[in-house]
Amino acid sequence: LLSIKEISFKGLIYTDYAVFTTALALGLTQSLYYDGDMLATNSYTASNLNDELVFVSKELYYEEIEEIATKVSGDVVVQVQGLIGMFHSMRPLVSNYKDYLSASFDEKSEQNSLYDEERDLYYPILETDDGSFIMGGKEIALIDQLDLLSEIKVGMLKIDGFMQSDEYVLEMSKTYLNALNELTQDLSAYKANKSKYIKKVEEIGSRPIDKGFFFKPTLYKVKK
Amino acid sequence: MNKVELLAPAGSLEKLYVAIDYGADAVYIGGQEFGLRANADNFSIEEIKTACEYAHDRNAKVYVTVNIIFHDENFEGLDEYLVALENAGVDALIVADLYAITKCQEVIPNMEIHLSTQQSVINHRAVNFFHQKGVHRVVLAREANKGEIKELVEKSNAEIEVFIHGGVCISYSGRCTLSNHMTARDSNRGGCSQNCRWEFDLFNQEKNISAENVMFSMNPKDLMQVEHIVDMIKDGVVSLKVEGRMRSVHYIATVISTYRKLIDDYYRLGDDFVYSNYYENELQKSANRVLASQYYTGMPSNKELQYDSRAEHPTQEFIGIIKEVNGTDVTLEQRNFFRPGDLVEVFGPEITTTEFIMGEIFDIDGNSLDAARHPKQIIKTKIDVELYPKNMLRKVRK
Repeated sequence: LLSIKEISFKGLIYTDYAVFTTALALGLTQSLYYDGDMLATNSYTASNLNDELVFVSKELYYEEIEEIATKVSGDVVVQVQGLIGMFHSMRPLVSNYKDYLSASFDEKSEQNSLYDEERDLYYPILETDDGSFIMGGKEIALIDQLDLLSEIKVGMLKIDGFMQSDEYVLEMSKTYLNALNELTQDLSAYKANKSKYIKKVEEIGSRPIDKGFFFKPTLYKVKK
Repeated sequence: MNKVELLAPAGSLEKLYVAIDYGADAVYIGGQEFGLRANADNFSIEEIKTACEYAHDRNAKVYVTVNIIFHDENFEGLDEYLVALENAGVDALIVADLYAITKCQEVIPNMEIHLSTQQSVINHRAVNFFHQKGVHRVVLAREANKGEIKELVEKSNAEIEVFIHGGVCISYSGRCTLSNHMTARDSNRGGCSQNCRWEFDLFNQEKNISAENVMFSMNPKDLMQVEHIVDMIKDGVVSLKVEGRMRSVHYIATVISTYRKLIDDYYRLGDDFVYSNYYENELQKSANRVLASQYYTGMPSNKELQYDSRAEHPTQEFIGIIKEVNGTDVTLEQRNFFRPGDLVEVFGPEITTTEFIMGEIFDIDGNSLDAARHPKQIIKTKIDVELYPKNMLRKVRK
């Protein structure tokens, strides 16, 4: 944190509260934004320490996002494009398997994936020095839902670049900006072009897409 | 020096009674709302009250989990629930979400708050952040090793609790939504369907690089820290926690009584205490999964994972619970198949574990039986060793 203290940037996004307390202790003047990843699922927790930008979990249904947006004063941030992280372990799980088999393959390849036969999905698995990450089998793509996101008062759209190329991030950003501009200037034209935008993001990416949890609520309790 | 706390799981009143009778200093349970075992048979408020009365009469404590990660739709009813828990006599709440911490302080400000391992706290600054928010104790992430635990205790303002035995998440706790993605069940609200224990083919691009006979899996062996308990006590850990609210009474009795004995032996003998394999051998009698130390001594390897599920050995030794003792006339409740002539051992908090040969057995009407086949069947027999009601019987495998 000391090394970035004097750099001019708007804010620091953190997940571990240790970053928050350390940044305060060091006198960082930049804003501190909590992105609890899977743990920022309600309006209070997501906005408690700073509600200027309110990062919410990717597992939320759009009505839940809407409820949060009505309760906080700042901008709600929603991931609209990219892979969704669904698992993080400290363990080197691909290396563990490789060692168990005494096999020879690249445990840190970005091309490794786990195949779920029942759902016919490949979940990217990336092993790094920080552990093993497993991502969803489809990328979220909400470029055709920008009108709804605007209606429910989402203030910032996030494109996630994890396991993506620089080109992917650049092209996606341009495409979303075009869509947002059209939405602002001519709503009917945006609506008419939704399928065009979806086709474009499919061309930029290389994985199947869906709407994540935006229209798919998860169960709190299973009825017996 | 305060004695370290032995904290047991209990999924029912029966298990809670067993946990306390077999030596737990405190028991944690789930209520019917806001807990991470959403679909288990959790405790009603009346049962929680009964549990607290039973525990407090025996100088034990009861903690209740309120450890879901809240969505706004779950806010409703929380205030009333917290008040009901306080009125029931609960000693502390185990919470995970900042919202729940704040609500506890607003609604029941005298209640002790423990931070769940779902926050995966593994550094002292995060501990102290939550302490400032009102948390009295932090249940550390299971990823913490010996050196980190020691440092955390030294630098933290909150009490430190660690898991010592039972099932573990292969991910950082709370950092997994495999269930959400694969089965639409919210793992952070009690719906975990343990998809991490499934087997998968591992691909690199289009090529399947898994072995034909051993698919990729992330199935961790169960945690067992029995060798390290003394170090944890010396390093200042306040509470030693056993996982397993869904496990059997036999499991709870065996695990809790073994750790109870180890802790008491250490406090009694001090520097003269010598660790022996006795404790691990006892724990193995309840194990239906292979056990390992996991992170305490360093990063786990493939040896802490279970690639071959055939190596697991379902527990079958537990055969019954003593109900009545009148001299050598004993009434017991059957839990698994046994027959006269089986080599059996009896164990319990008041006695030294003792082996004997099961003699002739009778049903409740006095009819002689060639075997006890029916779960919960009442069996009468004669046993000529010291034993008491609530002691347990298991077959001995030589």
